[in-house]
Amino acid sequence: MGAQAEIGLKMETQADEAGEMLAFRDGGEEAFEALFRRHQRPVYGWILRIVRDAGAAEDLTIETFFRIHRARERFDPARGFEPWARRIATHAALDWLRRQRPENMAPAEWLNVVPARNAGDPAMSAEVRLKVAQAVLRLPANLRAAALLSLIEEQPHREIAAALGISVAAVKLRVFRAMRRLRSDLERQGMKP
Amino acid sequence: MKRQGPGTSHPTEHKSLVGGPGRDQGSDRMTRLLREASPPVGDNPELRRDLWPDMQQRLQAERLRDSERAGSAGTQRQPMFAAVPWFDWALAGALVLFAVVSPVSIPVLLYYL
Repeated sequence: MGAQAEIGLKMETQADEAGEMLAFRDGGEEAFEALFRRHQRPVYGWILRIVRDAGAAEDLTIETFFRIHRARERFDPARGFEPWARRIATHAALDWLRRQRPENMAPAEWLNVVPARNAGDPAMSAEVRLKVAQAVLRLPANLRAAALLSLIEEQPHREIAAALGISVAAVKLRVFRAMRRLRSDLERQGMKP
Repeated sequence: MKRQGPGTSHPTEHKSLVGGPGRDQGSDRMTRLLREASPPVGDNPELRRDLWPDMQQRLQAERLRDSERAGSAGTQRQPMFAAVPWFDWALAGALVLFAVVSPVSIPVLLYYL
């Protein structure tokens, strides 16, 4: 009985979501608010994985939903809200990364995006961490996003490809190129990665 | 925002990309270095605050801008004669002049209108 009730509840939730998505596409502001409240956290999390700056991730979450609101007529409910939102979020994050000047980037802040309880390996010296951060921040936006999502966040290539709007092969290529650049950058800094 | 579970395709895909045993070790070292320098953000990071009030402000500001734009477009609307290109005015003038000089041509002009 418990399992049946759970399935029933799940189906009800899915039906609610489908109704909300249709209402949102037709310009329903309440439906937009419901979608925003449900998806703001996952969208924020996805952006944070790319930009690794909590303040910027909050601003970009609002920017993402603003773009979603403006493009709602193009939304196809059959394809689901989350993949669409994630794709728009990824583009907003890439735009932000491209706008950042290398001289304005702070590697120390980039390293401290994760709460202290999860902070990096204490055995690794601060100098090494800083060098790695500097090398990552010097990567072009598209390579950096692919490398962070794949290597650090361990997101499946399929999901990264969908979010970036490219093929899985292109994601693999970007990760490969990012690794090669990181390796040569670290070697230039006197490290042997 | 699902995470990669054990046994899914990602690690295999990664190895097939970099290829060769030497490269695999190098890639693994690099990945470890990256993860140790900056650990993953995690599955579902906490939001520090509800973003809906900011979202509402942004939407209101945009609506205000839209209405201002529409208002200024209405007040600054050009007079109708200014919207007609000079060439059309010249053509109309030439036709009137032609009709004054040669009134017999008026029925012919009307026929071709």
